[in-house]
Amino acid sequence: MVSEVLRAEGVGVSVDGRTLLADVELAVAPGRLLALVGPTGAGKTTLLRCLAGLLAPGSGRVLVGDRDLATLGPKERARQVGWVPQLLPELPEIRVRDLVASGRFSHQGLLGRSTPDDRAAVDAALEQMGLEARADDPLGELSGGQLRLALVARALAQDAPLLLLDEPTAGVDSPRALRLMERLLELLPERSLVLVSHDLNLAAQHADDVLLLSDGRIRAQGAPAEVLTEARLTEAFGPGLHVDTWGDVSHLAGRPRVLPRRADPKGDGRGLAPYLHS
Amino acid sequence: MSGRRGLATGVLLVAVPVLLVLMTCGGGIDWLTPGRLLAALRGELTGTELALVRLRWWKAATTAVVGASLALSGALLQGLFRNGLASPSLVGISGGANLASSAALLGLTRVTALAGAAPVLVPVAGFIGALGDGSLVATLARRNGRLSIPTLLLTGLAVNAFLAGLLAALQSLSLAQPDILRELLSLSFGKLDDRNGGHALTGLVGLVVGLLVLPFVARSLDLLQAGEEDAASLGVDVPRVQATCLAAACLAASCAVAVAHQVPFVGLMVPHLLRRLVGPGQHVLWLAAPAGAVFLLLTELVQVRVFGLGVLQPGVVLSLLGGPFFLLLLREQGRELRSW
Repeated sequence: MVSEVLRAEGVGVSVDGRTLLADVELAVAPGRLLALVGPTGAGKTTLLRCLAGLLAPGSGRVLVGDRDLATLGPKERARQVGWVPQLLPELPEIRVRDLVASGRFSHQGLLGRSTPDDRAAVDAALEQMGLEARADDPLGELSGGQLRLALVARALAQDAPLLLLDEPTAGVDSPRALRLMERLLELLPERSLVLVSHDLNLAAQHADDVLLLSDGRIRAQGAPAEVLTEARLTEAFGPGLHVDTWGDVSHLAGRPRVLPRRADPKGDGRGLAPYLHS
Repeated sequence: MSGRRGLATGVLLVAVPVLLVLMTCGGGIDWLTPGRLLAALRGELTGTELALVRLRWWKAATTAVVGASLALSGALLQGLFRNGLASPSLVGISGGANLASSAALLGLTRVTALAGAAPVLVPVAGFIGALGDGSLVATLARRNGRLSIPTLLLTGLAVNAFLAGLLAALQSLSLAQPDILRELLSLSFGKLDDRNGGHALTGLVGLVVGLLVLPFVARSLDLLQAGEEDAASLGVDVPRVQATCLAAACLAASCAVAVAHQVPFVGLMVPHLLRRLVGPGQHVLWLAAPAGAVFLLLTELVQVRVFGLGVLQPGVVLSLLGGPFFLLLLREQGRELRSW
């Protein structure tokens, strides 16, 4: 009996002698949200691409359930793992419905004919992401947040039990990013999610598990409060991050809050003020 | 494109080529009335009139097949490479065919025993040259088992330049033999007159294979427009689709070039014109073949009426049309050319 939907065993990637990932071990339990965090260039997106089967690791393997991802055919893989890219190349004239319908490709036959099941899956995905009213609009008319929702809807139409999302809130303002995350949380526990994010607070507030990467290696993984500590973040990102808690905000109790904190150049508690006014 | 508009366009693109084939059979320097064409179909014509209709029929059939094959090849390549500059010429197919045909022609003048087989051997050499060159460019553009699109386009440019140098060398070797030189030059101009059933059939082989492949790659090519990684994430077998499309595009264009030699710009212009008419997407692929047939038949009909039979070869006319068209297109769009 396999209790994880996804498992990485000793995954490593090197390009031109440079190590991008080394000995990554992780597991995603059903119905949970795992956030991959770390500084720029840590290897987060490279790891996500390995987990999606879009990049073959140089060492180790990725298992979906109990099956090695490398042994699955392209369509079978797409039925197991949904991929939500950060951005698509500019295809402004494509209608939202057509983009979402492309998620059904792996369920269609050799000729790619659409069935009533496909259309029902597309309608359901559009509704789940709140895009029914925009279904016939071209992508060029969507905001950044709506475009991300459309990409998530496409992955939902793919009907895979696991969704991998690369920076789903990048370039989206904070209130919309929150709403987008709330939509994503509604997908749990039927689906499992793995997302890459630069936003440590997004991971801290929403993820069940957090994996901290730097220089291609795992520095910590576990519950947000265990991973997002000031000591670990300082080790991975360098100085400048302060971690505290949400105090009496009950629904976020136990979850860390990460704040960037300016350095105090003279150590006299006055910060940069003496320099600015001198 | 809406279903009704698509259907209307499809019907139009079947009816118009048929009409143009009939006009090509009837037209030329001396026009034949529809009544005489019907008489030819009923087998009631004899003598010179019958020979004339046969000659025009094979010209019309070859022209339609060559136009259809080149346009289909161009649409496949532009979709595959996500680049509006991709065409059978750029991938080296036309240059390879021209060089191999020229080499065969020159070689046959030295081997008198085989001279009688020239009408068969020259197109066969062209076909082998086209397919060989297309395969060479595709092989050189592979990196770690994957087809690199920018590398392929640049490799095509470099190989084409090299082939042009070799062709110039062959032509300069023939300067002392005016008859041979004239033949070599005529290959560069394209040839749609004086074709026979063998020519039309050779072209048809590539066209049919290309059309048979379409249902299996059209949807995948649509998905490839967002990038190889995105398509792979949706379940597209990217290497298989790339190999299939490239082989089909090479075969269609190789067969066309083997029978008509250099007919430039059809593979480049027709998909662009179609995108302007029906918008981007896989329907460009489906409509490319009939649109290519219409385009080349119409060009030939008009140029024969304007300049007279045999005055200008198709390659010359298409270069004169294609160059300015492409410049206008670039100027009008004012941005990167769409491929799909």
